Amino acid sequence: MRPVVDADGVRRTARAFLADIDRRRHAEAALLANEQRFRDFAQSSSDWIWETDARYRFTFATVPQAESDVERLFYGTLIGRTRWEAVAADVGAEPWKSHIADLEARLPFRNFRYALPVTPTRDVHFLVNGIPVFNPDGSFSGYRGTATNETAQVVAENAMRRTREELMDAIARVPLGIGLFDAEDRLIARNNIDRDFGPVAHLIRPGITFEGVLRLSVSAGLLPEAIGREEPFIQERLERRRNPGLPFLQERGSRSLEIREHRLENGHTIVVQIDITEARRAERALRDSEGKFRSLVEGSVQAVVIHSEGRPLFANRAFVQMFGFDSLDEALALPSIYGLFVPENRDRVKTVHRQRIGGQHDALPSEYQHEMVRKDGSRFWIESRLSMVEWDGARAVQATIVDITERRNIERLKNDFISTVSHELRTPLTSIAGSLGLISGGMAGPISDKAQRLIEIAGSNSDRLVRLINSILDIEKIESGRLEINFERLSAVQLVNQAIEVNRGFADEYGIDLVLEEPSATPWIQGGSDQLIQVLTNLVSNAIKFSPPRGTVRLAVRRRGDTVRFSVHDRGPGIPEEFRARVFDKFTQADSSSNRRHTGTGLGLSICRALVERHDGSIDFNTQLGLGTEFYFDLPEIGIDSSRNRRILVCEDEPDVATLIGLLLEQEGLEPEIVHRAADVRQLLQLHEYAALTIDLSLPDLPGLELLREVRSMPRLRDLPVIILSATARIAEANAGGEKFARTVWLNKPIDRRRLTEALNTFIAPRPSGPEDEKES
Amino acid sequence: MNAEARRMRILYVEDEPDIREVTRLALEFSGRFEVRICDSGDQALRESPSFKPDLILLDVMMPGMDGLTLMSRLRAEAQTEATPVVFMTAKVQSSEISRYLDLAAVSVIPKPFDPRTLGDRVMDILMKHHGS
Repeated sequence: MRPVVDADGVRRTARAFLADIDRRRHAEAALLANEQRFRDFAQSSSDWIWETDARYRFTFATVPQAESDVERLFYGTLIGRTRWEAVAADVGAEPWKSHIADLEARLPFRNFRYALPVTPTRDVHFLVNGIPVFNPDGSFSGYRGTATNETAQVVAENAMRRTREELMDAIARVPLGIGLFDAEDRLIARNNIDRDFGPVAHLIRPGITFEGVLRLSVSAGLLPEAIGREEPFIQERLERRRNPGLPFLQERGSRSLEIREHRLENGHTIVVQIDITEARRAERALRDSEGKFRSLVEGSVQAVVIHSEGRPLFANRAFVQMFGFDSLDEALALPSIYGLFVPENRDRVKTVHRQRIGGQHDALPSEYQHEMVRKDGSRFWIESRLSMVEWDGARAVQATIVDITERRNIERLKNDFISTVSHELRTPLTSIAGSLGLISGGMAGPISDKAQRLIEIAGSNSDRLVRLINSILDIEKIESGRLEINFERLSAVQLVNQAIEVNRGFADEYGIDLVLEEPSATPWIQGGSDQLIQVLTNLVSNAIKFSPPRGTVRLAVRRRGDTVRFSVHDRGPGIPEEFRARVFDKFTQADSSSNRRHTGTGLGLSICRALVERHDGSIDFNTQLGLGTEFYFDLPEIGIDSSRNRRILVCEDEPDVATLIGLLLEQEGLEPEIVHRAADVRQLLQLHEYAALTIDLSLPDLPGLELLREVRSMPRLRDLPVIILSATARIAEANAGGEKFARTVWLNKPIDRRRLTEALNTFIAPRPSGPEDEKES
Repeated sequence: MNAEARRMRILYVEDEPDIREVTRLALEFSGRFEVRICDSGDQALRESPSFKPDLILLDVMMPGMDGLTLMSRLRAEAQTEATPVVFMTAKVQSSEISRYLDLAAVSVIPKPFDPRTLGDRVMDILMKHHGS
């Protein structure tokens, strides 16, 4: 066998040589297998390994699975580029600047972090370690190292940091004081430090012990309880701190704090301070008010009882006395306070109370007058005011009771007296006036002119006496509050028209014209129709009496802000300045001379003032000597009742007329909806509730009268107010023969604005009609 | 009704002699009425069945039986149960007037009244009552 010389010049046998080759092959194969295994490991982990040449360009990299196109591109184009080229980094800026400097210095590096931007909001984060590699000759060949994709970790850390920041921010904002101390009772975090520690806030820093915090607070005088006994207080507080238990109260400055301490499993302590200053103040106020309530109720002359469905829960001394009980216990032992009502009323009162109490809360308080029975069986009258109260957490009725027996007796006596006086004075006057009237009327035969004149004087003076009695009765009733006014919604214009009608005859006697100036609006007021007509009548009759013959008295209704002004203007002599202040006083007349032309009681204007004031109004006048006087009174205007339906359906085929009607209705505060055909009316009436309907008789698709019949045939619309507006309305009404249409008004065109609004106002604010008959004149 | 054809019969009850006289004169003066005067409720109850009044004029305040009691007694009598009653009284506060009307009086004439127009007024009430 021929010897083989290898590269080292070592002679070997062929067998040995072949064996070497074989070993080398085996070694190479093993190396390749190792390398493959290594690559597999590297590729299956999130870490990867890399190598660069001396110019830091990647020459080798095992890259992990890419999760996005950007990553795939990054890994796929890594070879041949530097790390910073691969992520397009700014090498002039940190951290790259320092990193490159390290590389230039051939230093190993650890935990170099950089990011590959993937989307504007997402980066892939890498953590890289590397060591320089040198050739056997000592020359630098590049770097070699590992890299880790730590994106998930960075994202989680960022989220946690953000959460922590938000939590700390939230804690800083809560009004509570929250402190966290570690197991050694050193402060980790505390919110609201400035607020809670004021002058020593700058010393409250993480790391300070709880005792340190406490001593600082005590020394700064923040804890009023500690003042004067600082050290004992600190020791007590530290003792409590060692054994946290129930919440406790601590005064801090002017604030009251409830302190809660919790020891956590890890030995940390959380301290929570709740500011209960307001709650304590309210509690004190409540205690004070309860005390006041008790002393007020106990000391009250009014009886007070609180009961639940009749069972007494509380009663004061006055109640015990009023009903003649021997003791409070006896009163409270009553099975039901309804036993105190007179037997004939018990059931009724009970029912009414139940309805009241079961209803809305604001249905109370209400005043009632009842006849009651004392323990001894005697009867007496009370006035009670009921209100709902909370008693031991449940609803109960509180009744405040006044004994009005005496008051009722006096009232009855007074009423009887007034009625009797009025009767007794009028009875002889009836004979006097009657006799004079009969003589004057010629019943006793002819009399001389002189006698006639004297009879007339006697007659007019007996009339005056009657008026005087009536006025005295009136003013007494008003001033004593006994005048019962039936307050209702009234149209100011309608009211003045009525007053004009009432005074028309009197004006004619004097040859005076009564004129209502065209009102610019039709405002509404709340009042008693009789009383307001009485006021207007007084003013109008005065104006008539003081007007020159064949003069004019002007009446007007005007809006003034949120009031309505009623005025009566005459062209009389005016009122002298010196008399101005006394115009509304009783028994005053400007012309008190014996030859005055105008007779009156001297009470008219004071009655007017009293009545106007009962209406929350005011009365006054303007006057100019020789030119005239304007008396006026202002009453609060009330709007259209918003709870009332104001929708008016207008069916009118002439567009211009329809627009005009719409405008008129809008001026009245109503809400017109205009349609032109009967079919539209049918449809809308099905859909909506209307306050009224106006119908033109000549509609394109159906005669108006047919539409009216149709509307009336529907039960729901039987009472819908309808206004027939047509050139032939009255004729149609007459031709309807015996056919009756309830709640229907027939108005001829052209439209009379006043009649239309009056008709609508009657429907929309219906006024109860009372018996009209002779009343006191 | 033929109110114009014959003189209407008025039963008038009043305790005050002067007023009684004035009222009688006033009614008779108009020439349209036949007036029967009573000075008490008892007398009115006695005379009304035979007199058969077309209208009864009552004072309210009277000694013994007052006008309100008398009215209810008259209502209980067959001959006068439907006869219109008018109170003629000085007690004319609005609550009092409401009470008379509630008791089904057809009208109230306040005292003092004008004797020259009393006849017309009574006639109006009668016409209105029969008209309705």
